Amino acid sequence: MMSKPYLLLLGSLQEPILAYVSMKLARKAVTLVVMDFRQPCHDWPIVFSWGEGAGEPFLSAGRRLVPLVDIRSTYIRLGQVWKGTEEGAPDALHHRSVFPHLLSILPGLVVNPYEASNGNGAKPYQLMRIAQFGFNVPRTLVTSIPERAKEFFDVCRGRVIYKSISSVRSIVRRVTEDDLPRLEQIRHCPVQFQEYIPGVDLRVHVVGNRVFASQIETTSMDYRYTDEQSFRTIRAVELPMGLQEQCIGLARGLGLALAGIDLRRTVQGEYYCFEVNTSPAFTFYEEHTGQRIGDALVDMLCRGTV
Amino acid sequence: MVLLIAHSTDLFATRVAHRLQSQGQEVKIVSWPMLLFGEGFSWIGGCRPGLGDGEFRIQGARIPISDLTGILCFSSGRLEHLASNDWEADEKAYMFQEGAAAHLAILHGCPCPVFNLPVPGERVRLFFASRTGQDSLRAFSLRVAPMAVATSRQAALEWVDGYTGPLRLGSLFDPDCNRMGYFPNGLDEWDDTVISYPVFLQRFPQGQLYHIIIVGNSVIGGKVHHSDFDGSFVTGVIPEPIPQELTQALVHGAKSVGLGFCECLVLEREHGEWMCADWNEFPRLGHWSEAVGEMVIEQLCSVLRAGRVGS
Repeated sequence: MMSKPYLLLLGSLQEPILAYVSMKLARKAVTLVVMDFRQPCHDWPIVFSWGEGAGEPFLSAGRRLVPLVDIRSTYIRLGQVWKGTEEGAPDALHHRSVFPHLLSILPGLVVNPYEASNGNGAKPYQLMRIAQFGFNVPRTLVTSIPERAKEFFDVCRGRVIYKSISSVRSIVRRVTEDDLPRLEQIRHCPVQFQEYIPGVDLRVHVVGNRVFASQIETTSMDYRYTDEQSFRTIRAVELPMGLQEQCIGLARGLGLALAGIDLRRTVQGEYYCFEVNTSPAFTFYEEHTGQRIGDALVDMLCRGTV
Repeated sequence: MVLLIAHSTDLFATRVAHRLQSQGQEVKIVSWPMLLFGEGFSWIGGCRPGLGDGEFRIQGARIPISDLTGILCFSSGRLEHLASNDWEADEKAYMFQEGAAAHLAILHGCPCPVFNLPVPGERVRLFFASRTGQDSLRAFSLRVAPMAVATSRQAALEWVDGYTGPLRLGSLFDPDCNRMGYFPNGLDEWDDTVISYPVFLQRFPQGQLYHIIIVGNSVIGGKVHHSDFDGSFVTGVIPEPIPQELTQALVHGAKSVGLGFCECLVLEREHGEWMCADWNEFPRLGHWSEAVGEMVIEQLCSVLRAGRVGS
């Protein structure tokens, strides 16, 4: 009898999306190994080997020994803890050293590989990559020089937003005339400014070769954050075939098996791409649209290929 | 103009700067914290109508990014060492992340050659042994020595069990923190204090060890005597001719992992087989003899003046 292939889940089962995916995977013919990086490393020894000439590479975690060659796929959902927000925590070393190395050697399908998953940790860098795949991207300035920010505001005729440069979650806000005196503060820490592109938001989830598009209409500047006065609807839409292919090409080009692409369609029908989320919280969109993104992800993980 | 990104007291950067200046080349030294949070910069992306070039402000001068002919980074964009009592811990954490993100965009957006272009999330310490690193190096007949990462002494023993040859143990953070030993009794000589952090272990194969510095299309280095080798990159190696086939493999191998300036430890095994023991993307002057250091500086200046990392 053939043994069931291993499927590795990296992250905490307390995290809703990983829990959701693991629940779906539990019904499949795979052996799940969950590596919760929050456990103290000395309570939970990990060793993994590679290179040539010292036997079969393996991963040993807790009491389980897994030959690397038997790992069909890995799903990683490390969230903000991964980004080092728990600086000084006893297991910060795990985040910083062990897991990146483990991710760098894992065989099979990895959703998503270490370097690719860090691509949106630097949004302007990712924007350059996105433009290489033929997408329109907004004019962008990252600066710590107030007069440059003021010039950008003028060139863009006052239609400018600002947001974080890294993956630190920030609420996208419009720059107003009232903000201009405060620009002096950017001397202490650079800020990303971007030309405001009016239009309708689209979140496109690419799962391997499958595309799930949601259209979001809102009165809020950042649809993720709405208050009682704001209006927001999210519904499934079908993208033009060429755009679907472009989205698949972008995800693949960025090395992502799973991606959440943020697009905006202008009144003129042009599509702009703002960023690509490399670990998208797709359940939010699933709840609103009924799209079976999680099922597509689970199918892909079980197949072990995109 | 050549830009050297290093602390102003960095001896290596200072020597490179002096050499370039003596050759009539304009050069500036600036540290990441000073550039990102001190003097200032602007970076422009997306479509550009109405926008000029990005710029750096260094020592009061305004330098268009398009005026730079080469950049050499002597350290990563990791900014944890930035210390200011004016900021709360969460503000510092935010600045580190924003600064690191800006640093990646700046270097990738520069039209001139950059030694070495960073990758998102930084290269892991053992980047050469990653899946893609191994694939890249194998294409140039470079294999990777068997190794393991372990999070505890017990975990390390699992992998070492039964092995009696030379073993190298190192930090997953610091390329300068490694040691060598022979362990007929496993890891008895390394107590829990040594393995109090996650470490890598390497079964060090027999063979002739070389310590080689790669600068563009050239290599500088020589043989390391096993008796002199303590596991670190501080070998003080004396320069000598490097076999042509190894030179070619290393230059191409380095480029394939995105590096134009780096150092590596390579073993020549039987039948002309080459095995990589370690790579370091931020070589330091103190690792080498004065003669090797001089040759490295000269070669670095040559490629920075020429405005190319190597084609």
